[in-house]
Amino acid sequence: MSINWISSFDEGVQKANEEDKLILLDFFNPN
Amino acid sequence: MDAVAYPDAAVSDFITRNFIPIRIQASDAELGPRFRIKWTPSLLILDKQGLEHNRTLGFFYPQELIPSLLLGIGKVFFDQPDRPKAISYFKQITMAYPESFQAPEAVYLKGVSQYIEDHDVANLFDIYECLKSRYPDSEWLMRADPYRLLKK
Repeated sequence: MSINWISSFDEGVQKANEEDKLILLDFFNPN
Repeated sequence: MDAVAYPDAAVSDFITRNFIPIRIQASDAELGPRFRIKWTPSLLILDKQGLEHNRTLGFFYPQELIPSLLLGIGKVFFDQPDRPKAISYFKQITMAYPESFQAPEAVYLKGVSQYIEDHDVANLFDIYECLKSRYPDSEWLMRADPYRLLKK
């Protein structure tokens, strides 16, 4: 199983509220 | 993280079960400054209101990332405050990952949470005793040092 990362912060917060879950926010450098 | 930790099956399963995972480029013009991101990887745990409760900087081995995330979840509940739930997460670290780098802090926070719940200073002394016997080189022993004086 791979991690289905969400790329929109607002969408993630909304989903966290809908599913009553915490948020893991990964700031990364693609280079 | 993409090369080692995230592809690990146990890690990806843990993250999927416990979090809504969001990935943002550190160069993001709005969110980078908002969360004061200066280096990567920066891994933050937020509650569902988007409030930060824990952050780590740098890479993790797969076997260290899960206890680190458990510690972060425990801190969310510690802050809320839901101390019994926080204790359950800190206890998972001390029971299932006693050799992890996170274990000494989990011992400390578990004992502090228990003390806040029942006001029994024995919990604080137990922090010191546990850290002294199991993690004598940890900085958390220093942080618990005054508790040695609480022995009855």
